[in-house]
Amino acid sequence: MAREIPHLRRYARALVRDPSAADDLVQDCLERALSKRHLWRRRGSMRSWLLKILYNIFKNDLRRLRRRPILSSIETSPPIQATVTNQEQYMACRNIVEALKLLSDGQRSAIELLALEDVSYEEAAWILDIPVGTLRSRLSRGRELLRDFGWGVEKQPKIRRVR
Amino acid sequence: MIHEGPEITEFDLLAYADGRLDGDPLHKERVRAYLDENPAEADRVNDYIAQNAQIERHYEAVLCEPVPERLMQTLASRFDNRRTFTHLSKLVATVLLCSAMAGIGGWWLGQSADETDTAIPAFVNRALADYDMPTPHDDSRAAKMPFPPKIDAMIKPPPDRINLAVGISNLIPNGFKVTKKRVITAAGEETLRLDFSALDGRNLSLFLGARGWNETPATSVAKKGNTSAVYWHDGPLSFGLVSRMSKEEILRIAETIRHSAQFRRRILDERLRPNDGQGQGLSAQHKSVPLKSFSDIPEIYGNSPQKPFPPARMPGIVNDL
Repeated sequence: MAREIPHLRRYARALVRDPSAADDLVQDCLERALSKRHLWRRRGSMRSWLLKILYNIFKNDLRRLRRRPILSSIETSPPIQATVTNQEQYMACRNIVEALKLLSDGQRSAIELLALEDVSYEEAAWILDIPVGTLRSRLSRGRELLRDFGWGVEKQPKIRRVR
Repeated sequence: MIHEGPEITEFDLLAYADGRLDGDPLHKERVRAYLDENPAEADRVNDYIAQNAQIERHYEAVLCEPVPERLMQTLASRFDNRRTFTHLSKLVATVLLCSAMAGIGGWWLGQSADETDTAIPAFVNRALADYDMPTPHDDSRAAKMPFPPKIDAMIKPPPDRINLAVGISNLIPNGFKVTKKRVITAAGEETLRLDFSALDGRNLSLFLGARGWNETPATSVAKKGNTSAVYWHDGPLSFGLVSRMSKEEILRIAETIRHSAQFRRRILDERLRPNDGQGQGLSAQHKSVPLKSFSDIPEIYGNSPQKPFPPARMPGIVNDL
């Protein structure tokens, strides 16, 4: 389990981006895994099992955070700006990771998982708790969105198409 | 170029971009050939490959970072907890196992010897109390009086009669001799006490009384201070063997007495059993059976000529003490 920690940290970092929060996520994952180790079936890899736990915790945390109302004073609230288009947002991204933030969580987690971990589609679908077809669909749509805004071979955002 | 096999789909292109066709070289070659013929699709797939590469490159440093101590500590502490838990589990399991075994053992022993302070028959309590009291003297009454009338009252639903068929000789443990004998009357019940002594100074007392409890006939143990009582019942009689010797030794002697008494009774039962098929009374049988020949020491409850052996329909215990 210990040797899987770097991989867990990497995917956690991709999911939550903040290094400290990512390590918190990994810690929760390890504790959950240890407490649920009797559920570990030696089919498939330990890494996939841990990644599934990690993603479940992330998903639950995300759901909980979204349910919690965000309280902020009027003074500290950022000013309401005029409409910012996706195009402008993508253009402001300094790297593909920032562009990934603009995708849906489902698309982003699928793209990052396939990019970072050497897992099959079936394994990835199991980790993300979605059907394989849904996984492929999310991959395809998410990647196409990134591509639309220039993230591809040239490694720099470029506008190919204006909608 | 004609591509044999199924049509290349979007999923094939994704798999190619994600490197998931490496295990299927033929299929991979078909996809590559398809992309060669479709430059637009090839651009798209190349963009996907580039996206993956950029993501991987962005996070590749994380793999080389040292693992934070707190994460390793999580594993270590949990491992320790697990070891502690395992140790505790083993401990608890051992205790439970021992308890279960003790329970089973206790139950098993209870079939032959049950040491308990509760539900001790009054007969045994009296025996324990009387054992510690100084014995005044031989009770001459004991040698003359019939067996405690309580027994007769209990076992004499006319016309049946069951009397004690155990001679004193059958009640004397090896190495002991009778030193005193007396009848104790307490709470309206009479109990015969026989004191035995061995040459090495060991003493014990046997109490015989009317059976006052109806539990299954098992040998039980009661204790009061340093004095232990092993008690059982046999037919209508209660037996209590009281001594300050070890419980194991008293149990052993008690078993000897019990078996000896039962053996004696079986012999009498056989001799007293009617054999003429006419339901002949035991008196006639008894007359032909020299019961005293089984007693090689003076009887304290004599089957005297003045007291004819009572008739009984069932094989029983003959009063030849």
